Formats: sequence, structure tokens, C-alpha cells
Amino acid sequence: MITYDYFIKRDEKKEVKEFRPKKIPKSLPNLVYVEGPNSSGKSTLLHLLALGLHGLSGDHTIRPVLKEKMKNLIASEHQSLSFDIEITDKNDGVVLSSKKNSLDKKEILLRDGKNKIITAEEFSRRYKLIYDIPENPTERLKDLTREIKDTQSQLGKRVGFFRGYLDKIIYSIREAKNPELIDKTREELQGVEKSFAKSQLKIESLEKQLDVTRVYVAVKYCIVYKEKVQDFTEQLNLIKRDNRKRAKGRTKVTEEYAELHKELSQKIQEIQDAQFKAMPVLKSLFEKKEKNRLQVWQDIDIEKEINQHQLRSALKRETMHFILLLKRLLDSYSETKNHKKAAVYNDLIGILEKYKNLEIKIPGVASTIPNFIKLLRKEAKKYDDDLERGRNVSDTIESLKAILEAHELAVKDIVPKLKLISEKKTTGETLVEHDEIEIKFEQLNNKKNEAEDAMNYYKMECAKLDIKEKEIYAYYKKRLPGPTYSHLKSYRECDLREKTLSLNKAILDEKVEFDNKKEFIAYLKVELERLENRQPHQYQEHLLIFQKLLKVAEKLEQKMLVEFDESIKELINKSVDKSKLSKEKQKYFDFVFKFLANRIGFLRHIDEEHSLEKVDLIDGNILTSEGRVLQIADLGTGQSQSAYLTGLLTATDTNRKIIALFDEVAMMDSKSLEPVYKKLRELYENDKLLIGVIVQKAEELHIVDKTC
Amino acid sequence: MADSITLKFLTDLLENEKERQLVTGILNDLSDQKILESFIKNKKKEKKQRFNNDNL
Repeated sequence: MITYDYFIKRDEKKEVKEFRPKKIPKSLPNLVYVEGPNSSGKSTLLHLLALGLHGLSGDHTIRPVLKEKMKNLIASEHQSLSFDIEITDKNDGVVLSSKKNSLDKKEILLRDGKNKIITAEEFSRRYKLIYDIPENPTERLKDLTREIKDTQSQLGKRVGFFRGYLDKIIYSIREAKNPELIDKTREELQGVEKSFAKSQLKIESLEKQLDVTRVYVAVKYCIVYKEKVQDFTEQLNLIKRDNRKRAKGRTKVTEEYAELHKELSQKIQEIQDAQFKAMPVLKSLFEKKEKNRLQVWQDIDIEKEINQHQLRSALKRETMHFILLLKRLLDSYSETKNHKKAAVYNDLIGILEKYKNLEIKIPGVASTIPNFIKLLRKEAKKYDDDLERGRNVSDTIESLKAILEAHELAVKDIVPKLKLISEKKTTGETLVEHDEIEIKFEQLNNKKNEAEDAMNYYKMECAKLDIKEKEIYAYYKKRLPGPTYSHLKSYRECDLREKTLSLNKAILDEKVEFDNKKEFIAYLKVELERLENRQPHQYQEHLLIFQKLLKVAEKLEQKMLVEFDESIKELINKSVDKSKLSKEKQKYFDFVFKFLANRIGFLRHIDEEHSLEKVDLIDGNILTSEGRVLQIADLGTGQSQSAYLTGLLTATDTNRKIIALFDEVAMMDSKSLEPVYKKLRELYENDKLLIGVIVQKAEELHIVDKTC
Repeated sequence: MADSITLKFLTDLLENEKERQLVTGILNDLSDQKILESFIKNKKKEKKQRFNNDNL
């Protein structure tokens, strides 16, 4: 019979707990099987029996892990223990009694049946204490890998909490008084204020440019059209005065003749228009050097030039002369540095425009395509006047060429046809009224009206610019030739109107920018005041460390919850593809394998115990410290443990009585346990076993006497 | 917190010194604030060390 009692006092900080045998009976048969739930005192009973029987000092077979637990029970600072154990034999005679009377003193007194104290040495000579905990290495491996998975997950979550905390701290530092942020905001404010002032200056400059352009175009073209009106009026008056001439012009002609005459009038009109368009440019460019020829060219009577083309060639000659001059000028322009720069920028803009939707950064300038185009446009704008001058010259060449073409068509095609019809006698063809003078009168009158409209428009423009009608001519003569307007001389009427529109647009755009900056300045001022009124944060100076730490925490959280988690799951699910292992994963697995070996420590296989070096869950083998490789699949569970325990009982020398204590035999089924019971019973019946206690975890408490 | 032996193993697995320090803080059951302060302390120590080295 085993009779025992104990008292454990444990300091758990918040309270001191006391433990005494509750569920397991205080008297048990010598050979007994105890099943019970956790905390029912099974392991405590075995630890006490081993402790009371010199388990920590004699020559016994006790697994190191159990020795650690026994030491923990008796030598911990947070708990103290007293106990009383008595073991009787089959005849109820006391064989051994062990006592630890005091909670404070470590002394354990073991006595024999004659009440004589037995030392550890003496006890070892007479008894063989076996205290073992059979283990199933494959189950243990599963538990340990799951433990890694859970720990990683818990650690990842814990790091996540820390990251959240850090996030809050960083946010609160940012929300607190931050001298760096204040300085940055102040700098930003100064920058925007500077830019705002620049904007203001730019608007003023643009408005001045617009004003100059508007004055120039209004005054100049008011006079130009006034002169045209006068010219047309004179011509009309001449026709009106000569009534006889008018009557002479009235004839009957064929429809074909009338059509051709109309075509000729159109060609003459085209030539006059082109001449009018080209004249201001030619004047601005060659007013001094080519004054006389310009006058000749301007005074050419287009009608006579065409109708008497055999006699007159001034139009063709003078036009070609000016084309030559303009071409030379254009060549000289294209050789200038500014023109070349502008050409390069514009060509680049043209190419880049095709790719502006691509998210590409231009190497060397580290700028996106749209930004680079913006930059190029800004640069190219500096050479706008140079380009405009070039464009004007090109356009004027085209106008002059159009004069030559119209002249050519008129003299080579229309005039000969007209001549042919006039010489031919009409035979039965339908004739229509044809008043050549009237047609001319009408055309001139239309032109005069158009010129009058244009003149009146420019007069209105002058009025808007506070230039009174009577002052316009003086303005034209005295102010326009001055340096303020000299850069506009080469511009044509359409270019000047275009320039006015583009200046207007630039002013509007700049004003939008100006308003935005104004609003932003107001916002930054309020923001600065808000930042300055905040309270400083205790961790202000450590913001940078925290920001770096935040990245570390994020990375670690990701590592634990994603990378390591995936890896351990692969191990658990046995889905590791060895051929695709990354270096990081390989390292991780290697650590896991060494850790598992370290955790298991020792392993018994057949009848040997091995110290482990590495447990390779991918290859399914275990490397021992002696360099042996054991296959995990070969490690039998119940059977090999049964063989091992039976071996322990068998290998004992005949002189010593056995005291066998076996803990947690859950992995051994009843079939594998039977040989152990059989051996224990045999030893007990042959008086070679004093006690045999086997404990097992179960839902319910269950005590089985195994002596019979 | 989880099993300390396993946590120790995970600490050994980390190469980044700051990650190790963070896990060690957690292993020692330190509060978030204490962990944060341990980093500040460490930084100060590093600065001092650097200053001493520069003045050697």
C-alpha cells in the first residue's frame, strides 16, 4: 500500500495558494494505474514519491526533464512543501517511510521498516528507482511545430499592437508642437509669398505688353484703313465723275465672257489682297533700303499690269525682287542662335507630345514627360518674337508667290480667252448685260465699306484706350515709330490680333495662379498660427527614431504573420517544394530543425538513447549528435516505448528492488501497455518490485489496482 | 505571451538588430512604452559611443 499526504504553499503574487491531495485517494495499491484530468495531482504524486525516495541524489533511472520538475517542486522560491509517505509490503509491514515535516526546511527523512534513516547511498544499494515519461517523438514534433506557428502568430500580433501604439505616438508627435514642421511651413509661406510677388509683377508686365500691343494695332490700323477708305473714295469719285466712260463700259456679252471677266476680277482682287497683306511686313523690313521700289510696288495698277501684260512687267519683277530679299532674310534668321534654340525646343516638344501619356521619367533631368514639355515650352517662349519674325517672313513669301501665281493664271489663261471671245463674232448665242465699270464700281464700293468697318472698329479700340479721334494721327506719326513699339513693326494685322488674344489669355491664367497663391498664403498663415499654438510632445526629438522603428515593426509583423507563417504551414502540411526554396526560407527551416532537435533533446530508439542535432521535417529524418540518421517514420510509438520500458524493468540487477513510476503513457495503447503490466506484476509477485505507479491523462479520475 | 523558449528561437532567427531588440522587449514582457524607451536609450548610447570614438 502507498499512503501519502502533502501540503504545498505557492505564492502567485496576487494570492498565496495551498494544495493538498483532493481527488486521488491518499492510499493506493502497490501496483496501480491512475487515470485523471489535468491538475488532479497525478504528476505531483509521482514527483513526491521520487523526491521522498532520494530521487534527486541516488543512482537512479530518472529522465532529466522529470528531475527538473522535481527540483522545481522542492527548491523554488515561490513555493514550499511538506509531505508524508509510507510504503508497506504485501503483508502490510512498513517498508519505507519518507517525511518532510517543515515547509521551510529542505530536509527529507527516509526511514526503513525499523525506523532507521536510510541515506541516498544506502537506498541506491537496496532499491532501483525508475521514473520515466514515455514520449512519442512524432507527436511531440507535431506539437512543437504547431507551437512555433502559434508563437509566431502571437508574436506577430503583439508586434502589431506595438506598431499601433507607435503609430499613435507618431501621430500625436506630429499633432504636437513641432519646430521642424513650423520652420518648414514658414519656409513654404515665404516661398509662396515670393512667388506671389513674382506673379503680381508678371501680371503687370503682361498688362503693359497688352496695352502697348492694343495701342499699336488700334492706332496703326485705324490710319491704314482710313487711308484705304480715302483711296477707294477717290477711285469711286473718279468713276462717278466720268459718266461718258460709264456708258462706254455698258455692253452686251456672252455668258462665257461674263464668267471669265468675273474670274479675272477675282484674280485682281486676290493680288490686291495679297499685296495689302504683305505691304506692312515689307515696309517694316525694307522701309529705308527699298523705299523707292516699295513705292513702285505699291503704286502698281494691277488691272493694267494684267490687261497690258505684254507692255508691263513691274508687278512680276518687283514681286520676285522682294521674294529674293525675303528668302535671304529668312536664311539669315535660321542661322541665328536663338532661332536654332527655338527650333530644337519646338522639335523636341513635337516629339514628346506623342508620348506624354507614358509614365516615363526623362533621364538626366528626373522629370516626367508632361513636366519636361512644360519646361521646354517655357524656354521656347523666350524666343517667341524670333520665331514670329521668321513666320511672318515665310508667310509674306507665300503671299508674294500667290500674287505671281494669280498674275500668271490671269495673263496666260483668262486674258487670252477673253481676247479670243471679244474677237469672235457672236452667232446666235444668248447675250447678257455686262457693265465693266459698274462691276468695278461695286467692287470698290464693297472694299470701301469693309475698310470703313475696319477703321471704325479700330477707332472704337482707340477710344477704349483713351485716345481721342483727333489724336490718332499724331499718335501714329510721333509715338508708334518710337522704341516702345519697334518690336511690333514686323507683325501683320492678324498676328497682332493673335498676340493680343494670347496676352489676354496669359493674363487670365496668371491671375488664376495669383488668386490660388493668395488663398494658399492665407491658409499657410492660419496653419502656422495653429502649429505655433500647439503644446510640445515629450518624445518630439525622437520622431525620427520612431519613424524608423515603425518600419522595423511593420516589417517584423509582416515577417511573423505572413512569411514565417506560410513557411511553417508548409512544414505542417508537408507541402515544401525543396527545389524552389529561397535562401531566406532555407535559413528559416534550418533554424526550425535545430530548434526542434534542441527541444526534444534526447530520443530513444529501440534500446538506445540519442542526443539530437537536427530534425529535418522535409526529408523526414533526424540527425543525432553521433552523426546517425534516423528516419522519423521508423520511430515506433507505443510499441517501441513499451519495449523500452520493459527493457528498463528487465535490465535491472537482481539485488535491488524496483520502484517504478511511469508518467503520461497516453501515447501507449492498452495493447502496448500490457507487456509492461505483465512485467511489473511478475516482478511484484517475485518480490522484486516494491511499487509500480503508472499515470495517464483522462477526462475522469479512475484508479485501477494492478496487483491482481 | 507565448512560450519563451520558442520566442528565444525566433529572436535568434532575426538578423536585424532592431527587430531582435523589439522581440527581446516583448520576450521580457515589457510594456509598449518601455520598449519604446529602450530604443531611445539605445540611440542615446549609440550617440555617446560615436561622440567618444570621434574624440579619441
